[in-house]
Amino acid sequence: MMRVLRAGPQSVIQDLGRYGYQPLGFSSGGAADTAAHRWANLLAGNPPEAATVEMMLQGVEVQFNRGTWVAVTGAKSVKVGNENLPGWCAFWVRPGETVRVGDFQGVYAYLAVQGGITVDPVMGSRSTDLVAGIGGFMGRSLKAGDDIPTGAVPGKAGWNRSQIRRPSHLPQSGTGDIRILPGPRQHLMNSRDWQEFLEAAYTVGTDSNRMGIRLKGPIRPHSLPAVLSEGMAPGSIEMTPDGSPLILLPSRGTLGGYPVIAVVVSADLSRVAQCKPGTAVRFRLISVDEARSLWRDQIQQIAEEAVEWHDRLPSGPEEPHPESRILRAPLPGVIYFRPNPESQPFKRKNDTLNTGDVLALIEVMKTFQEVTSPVEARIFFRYLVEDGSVVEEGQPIIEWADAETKEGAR
Amino acid sequence: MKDWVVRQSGENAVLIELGSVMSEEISGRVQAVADHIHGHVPDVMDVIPGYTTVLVMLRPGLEDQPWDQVTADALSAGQRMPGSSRHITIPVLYGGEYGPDLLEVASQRHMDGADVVAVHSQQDYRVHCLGFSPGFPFLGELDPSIQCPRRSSPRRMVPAGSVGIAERQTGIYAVASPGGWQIIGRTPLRLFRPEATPPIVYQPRDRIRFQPIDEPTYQAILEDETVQTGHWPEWIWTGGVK
Repeated sequence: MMRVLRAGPQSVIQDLGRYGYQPLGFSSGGAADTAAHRWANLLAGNPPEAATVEMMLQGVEVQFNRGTWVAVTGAKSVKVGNENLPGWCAFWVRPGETVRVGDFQGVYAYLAVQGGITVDPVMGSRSTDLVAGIGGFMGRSLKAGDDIPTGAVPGKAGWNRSQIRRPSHLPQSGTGDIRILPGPRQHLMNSRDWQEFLEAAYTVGTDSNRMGIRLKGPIRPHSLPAVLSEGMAPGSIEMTPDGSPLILLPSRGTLGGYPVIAVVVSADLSRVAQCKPGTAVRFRLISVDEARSLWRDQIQQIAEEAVEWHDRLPSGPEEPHPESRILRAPLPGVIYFRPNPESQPFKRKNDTLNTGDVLALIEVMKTFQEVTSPVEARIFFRYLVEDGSVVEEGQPIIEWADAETKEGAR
Repeated sequence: MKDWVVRQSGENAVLIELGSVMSEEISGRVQAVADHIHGHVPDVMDVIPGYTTVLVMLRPGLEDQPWDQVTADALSAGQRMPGSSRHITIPVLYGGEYGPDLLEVASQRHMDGADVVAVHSQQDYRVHCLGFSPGFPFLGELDPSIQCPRRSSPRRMVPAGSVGIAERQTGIYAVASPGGWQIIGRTPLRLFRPEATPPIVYQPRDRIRFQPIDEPTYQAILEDETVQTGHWPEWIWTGGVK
């Protein structure tokens, strides 16, 4: 579980989108920057379709009630507890620790948690559709105080911050021309206006959002005819009557009535979404074959990185050292050795320990986490701290003995 | 003879244009092609019908399909087996706070409000396509006597259930959204139910008729609706609320 301490202006849960309902007017939506979303998932050890938190312009501050891997992309920095880490990395977060996402590179940043954000899917997707009021967390942007469910994947606790994971080569942010193909209504434009459009220097307008990017440029109004409402693919560039092009993002309306004169290629759509108001934009025409190979390259880069990660991912919960006779606190908090103040302790000297036996409770973020025995057929010796005391993660809390030395470990 | 055009719409989508005017016949062709592609072409992410077009969105990274052949097959299959349409009755409380533009429309057309209501609710409308906002049906064709242009300045928020008219079309705001259509009434029916399959009560090719209701009926349906969840009341299929 992840608690939202600060929500930022618009933080929404997103995945790769909602398909199958566009004929009914529900946009596909999903992450505005699918590349940064995929990278965040990859770094956190998730498949690309896992849900992440998409933040707009300002980051969230969140707190976790158990240890987990977290990854942040699209931001320059992230503060974990008291430590400042760079963006585009994954890091281990201890129970009770806070994560605060720092300055953004563009408009959107992503936070992925190992195991994904596990809100219930609505109509086949976890992505938030703010227009329909569905998906994500109660169909809305996150607010302070929200408790967001996260996947229960056993992470390897005890990794320290020097073991943050970063991609071997960062994805290219790219500042060059936005690559386009001619649109389905390009034929309505005369060749002079088309040339003007291809050569114009545009800037991104302030009235841009997850639905679309408005461009301002030195162009005069067109006399293009309106078209009867027709389907709009993400990336479509609609030419509006006042001459300002509108680039449609995945949360667009599914039907539109302005002619689509060009379409941004899939590989550049994430980059378009990240353009802040005032960003200069120029277009460059390429071929369908080039567009497809650009997309394959982008996906391929992430796939190759995923293979490298897979080798380095920690697998399964940490095994106690065979020689060890000490159990350490798996998370920080207040430790209790009895289920209730008036009860007997869970274990007393010379009791047998079997795997899964409850040995203690640790209270953290108002929840009680059970500490269970990782060993089979050993003999309980003693608690190493006071009942009700505060323990740090990794602090020794229990000592046991081998079965044959029943009178104690030493 | 080939009477359609296939236009590329980015590297992962094509727009199949089957005509250039709003008509029952073209809408039928659009539905035939949309249905056929949805059922027969692999790796299709979504098929979005418009008034005269079908947008086919494909999984990224695929090569082109022989779209002309696909369209030809779809049209001949559609001729052999035209899809059936359902009749749905939507109750509407016209005028007043629910239809703030009713009197404006009436005065533009030199009628009184009751005449506009009578004309609007006397015919079946075909669902041509859904879009603009989730569950918004584009319905045609509005009787020429009550056609009028969009409002000169759109509203920032139109409540869910609002029934509007614009030019030759009428439609329903299934969810609250900004909008520029003339709002003449509102339905108490919850048209979008995320827990239902499908989540929107009507689909392209269905026929919709509006049933004028009074305020007590509106309130009664509204109360019933707060307890309804995954299914719609039976009377919408059987000619309207009694």
